[in-house]
Amino acid sequence: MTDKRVNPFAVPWFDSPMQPLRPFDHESHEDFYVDVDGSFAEYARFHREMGDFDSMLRRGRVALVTGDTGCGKSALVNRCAGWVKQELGRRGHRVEVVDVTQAADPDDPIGIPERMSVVCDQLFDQVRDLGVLRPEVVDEFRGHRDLPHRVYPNLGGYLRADHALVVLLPEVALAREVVAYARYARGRVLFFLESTALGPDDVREVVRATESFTGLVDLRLGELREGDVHRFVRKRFAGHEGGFPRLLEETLDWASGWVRSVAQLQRSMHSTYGYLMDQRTGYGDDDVVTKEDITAEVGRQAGGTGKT
Amino acid sequence: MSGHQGTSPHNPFSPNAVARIADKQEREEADVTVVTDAIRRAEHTVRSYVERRQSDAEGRPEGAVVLILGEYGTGKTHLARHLVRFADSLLGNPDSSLHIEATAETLARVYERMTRSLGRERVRARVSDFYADIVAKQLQETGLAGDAVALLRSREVEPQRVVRQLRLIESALLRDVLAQLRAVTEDDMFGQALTLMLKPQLEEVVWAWLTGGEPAQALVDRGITRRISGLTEVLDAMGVLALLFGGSRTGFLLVIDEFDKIFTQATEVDGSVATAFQSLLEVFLKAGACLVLCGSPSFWEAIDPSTAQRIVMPVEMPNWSTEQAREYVELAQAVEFGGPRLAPFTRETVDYLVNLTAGNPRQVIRMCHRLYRAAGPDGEVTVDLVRDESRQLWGALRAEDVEAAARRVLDANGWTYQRDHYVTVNGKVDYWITFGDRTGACAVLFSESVLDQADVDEVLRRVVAVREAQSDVEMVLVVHGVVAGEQAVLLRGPLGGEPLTYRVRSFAEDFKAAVQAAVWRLPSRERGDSLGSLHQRLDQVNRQYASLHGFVEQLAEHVDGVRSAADRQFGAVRQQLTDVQRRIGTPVAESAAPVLPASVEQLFRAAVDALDSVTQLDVMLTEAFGPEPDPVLSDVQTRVYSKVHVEAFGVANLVSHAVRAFQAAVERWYRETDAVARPVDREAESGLDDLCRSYDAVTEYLPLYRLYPLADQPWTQASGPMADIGRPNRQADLHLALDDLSARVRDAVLRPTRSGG
Repeated sequence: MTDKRVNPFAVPWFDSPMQPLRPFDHESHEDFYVDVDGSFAEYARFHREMGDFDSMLRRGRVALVTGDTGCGKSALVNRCAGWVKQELGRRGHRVEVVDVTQAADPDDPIGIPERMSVVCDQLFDQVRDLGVLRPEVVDEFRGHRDLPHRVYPNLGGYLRADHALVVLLPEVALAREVVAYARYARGRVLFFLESTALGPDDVREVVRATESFTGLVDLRLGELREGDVHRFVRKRFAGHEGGFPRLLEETLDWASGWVRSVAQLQRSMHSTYGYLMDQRTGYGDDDVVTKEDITAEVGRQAGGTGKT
Repeated sequence: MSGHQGTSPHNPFSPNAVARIADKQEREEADVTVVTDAIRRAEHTVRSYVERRQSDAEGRPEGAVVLILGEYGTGKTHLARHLVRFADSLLGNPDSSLHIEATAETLARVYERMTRSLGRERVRARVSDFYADIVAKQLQETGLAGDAVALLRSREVEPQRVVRQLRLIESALLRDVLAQLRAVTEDDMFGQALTLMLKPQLEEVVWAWLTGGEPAQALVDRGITRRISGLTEVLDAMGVLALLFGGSRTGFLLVIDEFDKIFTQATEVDGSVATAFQSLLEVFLKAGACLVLCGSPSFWEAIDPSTAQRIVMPVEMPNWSTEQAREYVELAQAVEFGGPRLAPFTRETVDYLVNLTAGNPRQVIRMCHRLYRAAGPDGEVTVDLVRDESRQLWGALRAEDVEAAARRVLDANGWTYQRDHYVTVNGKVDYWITFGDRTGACAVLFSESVLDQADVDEVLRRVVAVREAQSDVEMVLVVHGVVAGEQAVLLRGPLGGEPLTYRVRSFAEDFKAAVQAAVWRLPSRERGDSLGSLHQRLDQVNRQYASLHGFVEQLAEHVDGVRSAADRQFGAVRQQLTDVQRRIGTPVAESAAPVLPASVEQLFRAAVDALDSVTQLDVMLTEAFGPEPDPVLSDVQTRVYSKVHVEAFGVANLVSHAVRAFQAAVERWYRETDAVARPVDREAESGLDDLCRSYDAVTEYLPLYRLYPLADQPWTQASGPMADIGRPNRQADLHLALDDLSARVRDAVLRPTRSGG
């Protein structure tokens, strides 16, 4: 008898269970999406907003995803980006996704122009390496690489014919920064921004400030809803034939009472199963993971905070 | 320090009797407090405040304001310092309350000291308290991670770490922090700024802004656009910090010394003194903080009644009764000798001392210091000795200084006066002031201390002579010294008021008020003589213009100050060059790292520099042997011919040597104890105490006032009236550098140990 042990909350291709899904890099990730936090509805809204991609290809678009920490914003952005790549690909366009999300931090002690400049500078290296630029504009782009007001308005024009670009920008904390990017949106370029700091009022302000020149795609992820925990766990379980203990309904009901975000759910479950996997016994299809198991693991994680 | 039996070379009475709040641990063991009714009432207020906090830790009990009012030397600062310790003892933890010496000239400076005393880490930690409580509350609701909840509540773990580890919703939690801080500070901008301190990347820029800097662009982007500089912003910021800490479990005790100065200046700037003061009180009361303000009684009279009602506890510092003075003498000696005793004083001499000083605690203590020293190890303090010493102490005040100060007031107000006016052959008046709209005149008489009946008779002889010669005359008697209580009563009737005792810091105001009061008592001139009044008025305006030269004198003083500073800097540079030269010359022994920490070395250097700057012997003798010696030699001879100058040179030289010997001894102590690298143990501390006591004993009989002749006219100082103005500053510099030197050295040496550094 083989001891086939599986952590149902592990995600293929990733070292960390907390990395957001990335279907434009790994197609199989598409199957891992679960309708939590109302994300499927927002994904559908994005489809509607993009329509036949005419506005993106002619004028450029900006999508802003807001929601609290750990609610799945990045995963939604990646899914939307993957969908754009796939759909436009079907229509004869080559779409590349450029990820500069790590180029800056919203809490960096610098102003908006400086932060945008840092991001723009990093964008050049990535775009050049993708081979989507017209050769004759590479030097011009390089010369302006840290000048957002030179680069972004011309970005679509720098691309080879039938190419389009999806730019995943760093998290923003200020409405004015979203507006600044929206002003630079031009044909064949789609900007994605996400924010934990901007609330509904801020977003409304951004929509008002940008409505004269673009239609901001406003996607919002809310809190976990009733049934989200059950749905998420069942989906993960369904991805495997066996090799792991189960969670009873009452345990899921109990978890629904305190889990506040999908990231927290993923962290506590992956970690609990990971711990139990390392134990010698009690990790079979007939076993169950109890409340006590989860509580003990959360306690261990908290203990890992140590004394400071 | 205590426990020395029999005679001691150490004088148990402070030579200066000036309390400082700066370091509560400083010379704690030497502090003597005579518990008066005022102190008991102030203690009661602070105790009530602490008890309210302890019984209502979750809520925000109202704060307290203690207003300590008193003339100079009545012990306001001493009481404030006592209250700080008292609060500590009630809270049971010296670190659980916060107290700041905020003696300062402007509110902005008070705020600067407040933020500096609090420190960035403390403010961030307090903000983090809010975050930790919010995170702990959420975790507790889940019933999970009980250990983490406990660690968060005891502040043993950073909330950020728990949030990261358990993947809690950071953005929502920070929103809660922001909402709480906005509610607590009642200010959106400060609430946001403080919340941003939880972001490590932004902590520095927020702190720079909080401490008065321009807001960084990252803050401007977030709506924090104004610098904290004007009176309103500073008050808001002080209130925010009071709210932030007042709501804490530990409480917040802020002591502002000489606060009336701050608001006097504020009035001059924008006339909003009452509003600003009222705001400050309201903010602290509402914040649940305890504010202790020390100031002059005149400020109390200037406060709007509606504001006064908000002051929970005004405490007026009375002068000591004879019983309290005796208690002080006994307590001070108990600290030094291990048991209370009155000798070498007697009941009679203490009573006389209180009579002479009107019971002013500082004057009593200073006199005790002198009398103890004058009596010697086996002597007794007699009434005659008290009289002699008081004449020496207050007689030392130079009559010309007082007269010059009076003249400046008369000039500044444009009053018509004659100097040394004789109403009769024997009736000399020091200043004879006339007024356009009044008949008669105001006669200003100067007198030395009035200590006995003979002194009273002399004053009365002069008063009678003036009154016989001129019917409409009001008298102002200025005493440069002291007036004994009984003698003051005898003079009150003939003078028509209290004699005015010269006090450096308040004389200008006191004298002006006394002359103005005299003016009002003089009969008005007939209305018909309006032309004469107009002439008088024009003359007055002209004289006021003429007094503009006072500004020039002040400018001269400033230049003098700059030159003194430059001299000192030059001296320091020269000293450094000498040091370098010496090290080059003796490469092995002298190239080692400095023995003393910079803070300690600086104290010694400042003391020596202060002495050098008044003696200037090197400069004088170099010039005497310079290329053009003739004019210089005459000046040198004038100086060395003068007994007071030679005596001053001698005292300066002795003090200078004592300072250097003290420094050498402390350096030796550092080498032997390895105090730079290791904590100071009790034995080492005791050794340091011995050195300090030795220095005190050596210098005790070398009073700084004997250096005044040199400070009054330094070698490089320009002569003439402008020189008079800078004199008090030079004297003050001497005191600043040399007063309490041993205590300050001890404190600087031990501070790293106390702070755990």
